[in-house]
Amino acid sequence: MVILQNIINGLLIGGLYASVALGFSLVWGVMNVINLAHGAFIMIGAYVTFWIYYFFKCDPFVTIPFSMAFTFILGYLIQKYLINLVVKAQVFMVFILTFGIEIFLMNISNLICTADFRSVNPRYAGAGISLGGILIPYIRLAICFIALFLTYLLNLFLNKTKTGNAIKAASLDKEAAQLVGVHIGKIYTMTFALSAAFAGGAGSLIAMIVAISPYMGGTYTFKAALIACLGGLGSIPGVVAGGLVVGMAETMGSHFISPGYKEFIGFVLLVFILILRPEGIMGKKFFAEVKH
Amino acid sequence: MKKLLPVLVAVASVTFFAGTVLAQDVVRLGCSISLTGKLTYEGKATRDGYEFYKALINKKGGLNIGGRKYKVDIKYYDDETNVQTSTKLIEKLITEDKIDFILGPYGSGPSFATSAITEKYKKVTVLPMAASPEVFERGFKYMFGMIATTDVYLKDIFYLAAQQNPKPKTVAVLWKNDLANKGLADPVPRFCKDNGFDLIYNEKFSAGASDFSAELTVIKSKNPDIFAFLSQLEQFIMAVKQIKDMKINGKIIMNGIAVPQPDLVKSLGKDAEYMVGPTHWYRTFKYKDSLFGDSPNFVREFKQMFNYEPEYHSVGATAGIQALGIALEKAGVLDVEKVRNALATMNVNTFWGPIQFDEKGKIKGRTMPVGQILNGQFTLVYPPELAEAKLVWPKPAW
Repeated sequence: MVILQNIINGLLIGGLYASVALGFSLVWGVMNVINLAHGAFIMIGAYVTFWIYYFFKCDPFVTIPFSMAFTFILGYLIQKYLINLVVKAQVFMVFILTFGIEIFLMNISNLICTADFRSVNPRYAGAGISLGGILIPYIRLAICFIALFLTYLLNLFLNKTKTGNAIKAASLDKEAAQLVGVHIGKIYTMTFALSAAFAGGAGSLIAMIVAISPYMGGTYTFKAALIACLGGLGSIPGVVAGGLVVGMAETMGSHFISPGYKEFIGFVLLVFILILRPEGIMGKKFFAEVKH
Repeated sequence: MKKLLPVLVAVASVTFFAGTVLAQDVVRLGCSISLTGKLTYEGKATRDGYEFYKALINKKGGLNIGGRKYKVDIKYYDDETNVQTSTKLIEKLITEDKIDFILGPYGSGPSFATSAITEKYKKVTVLPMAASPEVFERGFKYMFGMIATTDVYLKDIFYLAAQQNPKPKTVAVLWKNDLANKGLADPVPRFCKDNGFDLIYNEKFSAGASDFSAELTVIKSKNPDIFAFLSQLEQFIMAVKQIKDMKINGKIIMNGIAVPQPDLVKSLGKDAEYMVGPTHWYRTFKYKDSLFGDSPNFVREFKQMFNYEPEYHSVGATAGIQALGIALEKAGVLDVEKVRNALATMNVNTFWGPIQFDEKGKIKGRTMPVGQILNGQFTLVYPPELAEAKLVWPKPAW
């Protein structure tokens, strides 16, 4: 029974992890940008949810479109006026810039929101389904479904729309995409804004289960990097697979080995998968090759 | 130019003499503290405690050192919640800013690291927020801790639980793998043995963990009477949400650090109700001194200055800098060795309680009163002479 409960726990948290890594993987895969500010967008999404919930007593799930819209605009502006400056530079420059953006966003949030810990605790927190001793909290179940739904939406967008196809084309071969009329600058801006929006959406979901503070983002940037590498850069199904694998590995590792080695287990898994399958679980050749 | 010269001379003379007359003797203290990063909340609360003392003592004319009045000045650096940065900044305070008296950071980990630097340079440091016993086990001579160490934090909670009827039998403890929480968890097997409890679960989790569902599932299956989740505030908030999700109904759910912090109730609302934890200080403390008066007066004046009610971080920091101030006055000179000796032989009563240090630099005789969140307020439930309410036992089910 305990194992069954932990399998469900692993799946529920895995779904959330997938949504955390979605934007990170997209930007890395398409733009070859390792966005160290990814966690900061998650944090901002969490704060948007918190403040709407706090001032308007609005259901936290209803706030998701607002936090996505806000982080979309923020991501758009940051890409257009900052990241575009270094997108053709060496990877190291991008690291420095995105790291700087993360520090800036954290400190601005600290100034505006203070360092107090906040939490979104709706009336139905703690309620759940009980199936023969297995507990499934409503909030976690809803978070997992919404996270997977957002992932599905992004996949649909990339495969079924003209802009989505252009993003995919840019990720496969930038020069060829330009030759057929894709405006790389616009596509990069759209990709980064989308990535920020999905990070904001993930932040709204996370707000319901953690303590919100300006410094919460760093943990999720590393988690996103782990999942994106594991699943295969730029691959949306890969992100889902990576999220679920990490969620299950952490939960089962905690169950069978020790909770103290939870994060260690995730990284050991990454090393093994990269040895056996360097492109990640669902990564493909030509997708997201790191260019120096 | 000839006309201008007398004017310049006059201005220079006035400036010089005014400067000489107005110049005030100043005792400079240094502090590297977390003003950004994960421990911003705790760092700022600690800094406010230092600033409160500084404002009050300077308002009274400053410290009386060897018959002269010295204003207190504190130089702060932000360690960004990074221990390596903290040690570098302490070295900078000592070697570049030439500061001899150091005020400690928030937390056992940073205190452990920075005190190694102050000891190397033989500079005095007070550590108001160092709770791990390991900080004091290195034979250092120049550091002085102001709070009870973590090995006694949970002692009275276990004792209190053992007095309840029906007596609880089983204990589960899940703790964050850092210096402070390891210090809290280490003596739990002894507390269990002393009080006749059976320790059925004892595991640690890594410092960056944000999901405890796997651990809580196992704990739920064991159905402990007493559950100790040992971490700082951020992870305790996450844990309480998950404990509620999993419907873990311990008769006591405790934490060693976060329960007196107002953000717990602000974040969790009624879900924080009945959580139990120890505190270093409480508003019903009956100690007094001439600078701060009694505890209600301390709270009132602090609130006037900072617009929030202080809890133990700020109050402990004030006590730490006050102890250093008393030592400076007693030494009568700004000599490190003499101030160090004044601290080592100190025996005074302050609003914080009696201050006397043992040979390791730990404050003597401090215990940890026990509080419980009742009606949205951290309320003292033990010891009886300070308690404002009775422990709600068992904790009502979720």
